[in-house]
Amino acid sequence: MKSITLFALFSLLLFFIFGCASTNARYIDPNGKDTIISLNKINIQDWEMASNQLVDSLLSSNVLNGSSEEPLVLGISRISNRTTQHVDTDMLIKKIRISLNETGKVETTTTIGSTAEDPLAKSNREYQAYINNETVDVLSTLPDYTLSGKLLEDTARAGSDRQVTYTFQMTLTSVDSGRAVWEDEVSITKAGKKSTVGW
Amino acid sequence: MHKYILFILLIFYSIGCQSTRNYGPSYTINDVQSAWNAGNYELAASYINNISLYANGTNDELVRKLDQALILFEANDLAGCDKAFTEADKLIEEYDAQAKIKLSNEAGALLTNQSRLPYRGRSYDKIMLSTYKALYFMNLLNNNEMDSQALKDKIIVELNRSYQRQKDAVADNQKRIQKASEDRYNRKYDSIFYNGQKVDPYDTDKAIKDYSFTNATQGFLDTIDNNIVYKDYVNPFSVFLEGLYFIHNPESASDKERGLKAFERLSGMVNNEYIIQDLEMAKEIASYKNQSNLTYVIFASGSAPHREEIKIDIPLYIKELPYTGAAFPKLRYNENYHKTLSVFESDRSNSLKSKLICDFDAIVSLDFKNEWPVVVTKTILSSTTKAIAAKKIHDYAEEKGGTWGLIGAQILTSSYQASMNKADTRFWTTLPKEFSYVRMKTPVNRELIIRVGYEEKTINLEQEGINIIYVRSINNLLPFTYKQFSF
Repeated sequence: MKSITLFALFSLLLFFIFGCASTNARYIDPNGKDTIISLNKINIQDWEMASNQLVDSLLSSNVLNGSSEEPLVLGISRISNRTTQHVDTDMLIKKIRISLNETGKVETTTTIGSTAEDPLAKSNREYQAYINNETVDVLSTLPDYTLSGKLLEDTARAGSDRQVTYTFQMTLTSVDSGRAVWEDEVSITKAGKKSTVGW
Repeated sequence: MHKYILFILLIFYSIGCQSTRNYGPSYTINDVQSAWNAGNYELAASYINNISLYANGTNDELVRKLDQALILFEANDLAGCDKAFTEADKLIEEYDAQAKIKLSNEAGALLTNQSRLPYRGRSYDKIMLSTYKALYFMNLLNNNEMDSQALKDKIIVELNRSYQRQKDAVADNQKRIQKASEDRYNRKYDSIFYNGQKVDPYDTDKAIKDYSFTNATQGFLDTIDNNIVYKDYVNPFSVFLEGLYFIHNPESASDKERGLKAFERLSGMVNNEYIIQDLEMAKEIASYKNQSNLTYVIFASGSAPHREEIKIDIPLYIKELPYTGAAFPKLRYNENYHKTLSVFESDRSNSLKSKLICDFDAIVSLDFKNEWPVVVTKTILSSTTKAIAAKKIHDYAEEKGGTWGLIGAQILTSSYQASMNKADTRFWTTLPKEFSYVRMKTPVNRELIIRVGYEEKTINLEQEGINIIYVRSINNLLPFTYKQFSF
């Protein structure tokens, strides 16, 4: 009987420990060491790291140091997601755009393409041109450069050990010449062991 | 003896909490299957929506969502289909992120049965989920309201997942078999006490080799062996879809190469004239010669094998109780289906028959065969644990309460064992038996006739480019349905 009583007390103790546990939500630094690292997804710190390195690489290449005082116009082209995750590529591109915009050297057009980022601005511009009996000056809307890219994933495993590499590739193309004037890629590799047995 | 008192308490608890698998007010999964097999997709959709809602948070949630997605796809409820696919995928990701074996669940299943464990998705379920999602997104490509670039990304993600899941399945299966072998080994050297004395431990390996057990299982295992034609966990239909998409939608040279590689892999698994033609075309496209005026008719026919329960006696090696009946799953193949379809041009010229790409009997059989050692180990351990515990309870009850004590204990334990002696027969019921296809030049008048059995339908090809017609026939009594899209 003593063992049953002990068992019951132990069960109650477990209930109070786990049943009433608080989630202890707290703010953390997205670039700090407290962030969660997942093997099966691109985490917030991975996007941050990739965009920072790509922006540094692009700025240090000096291709954006144009002769004119006017900021260069950048168009965002196809960013192809070749991973196994449904991700929003703006997690990368928006960060790059913000960083480039802050330099004052680049402004991004949001009104070109079939899926323009700002359809209202695009249609207003077209409407204004129609009201004024003008045609939209296609040349003035063309960007100087376009940014395209690819997100790739490579997975390897040996027993319970898993390794995944996410590669972020970027290309800056001069619209005038049609040539890639800057290209770079950042690879982030994560490894971990998947538990086979747990409670 | 206290643990046997706890076992009796568990009996009351388990019988009391037993799920009747009756979802909602009056529907069961059998009602869904009846409506589906009768071709009443709207009714099947209404039933499965209700059932799926009630299955949320239960061990059957995933398997119901998988059925829900395909039924809604057939019933043309595309938004509902998308939602069910997404939720099913999310569940699989959650299960995959957890440990493969949860001791708390497994310990419970030892005293109950394997169908009390969460349905985590079989390897081919996961592969087919991604493949069907890719097909679903392809089906939306001609919808002008959709962002085609975003759709293409989604298709590629699903094709990548399908490929990755095929690779993962091989490694996961090896680990599962290793774990079952370890379980059998550990149990072999476990001490068992009977009447206060240490007796021979239970040897699962010996039980598996027992004559009566092998005799009872050999027949259906031989049938399964005869159906296995593929190596590992490759799914030729997934490979076909990957090849088809990349060879006709290349965004770069690497995509063309990927399409070519897919058809090369496919030609190593399946041999038919259309695949040879597709492989040759893929080589040409890789060399920058484009093809555009092609039509593919994909035929998904019949139903994948379903699982039934079979009771087999397994040895206990106890003098007073030599054998106990245990419930095992068994595959039953569905032969009520149309093997091929025929396609003609509108003037009835150029008749072509579909050729097999993927035999789902083979895929399910391989999965079943690979899982069999694990199922046998778990079922034997569970059945013997329950039978040995029941025997000890009987002895104790007889000792304390005489004949009436024994009768009471026997009633209790036998009703418990009967209610728990169930095989895990859950499966994705709406998968087809076979995929075959026809590949042809698009007729000049963009009209073709598809014949399945005695039924014919004339189809106008609505789009330019590479036309895909996806035809579904559930059985040979029902009219077929189709969807069309183009690349």
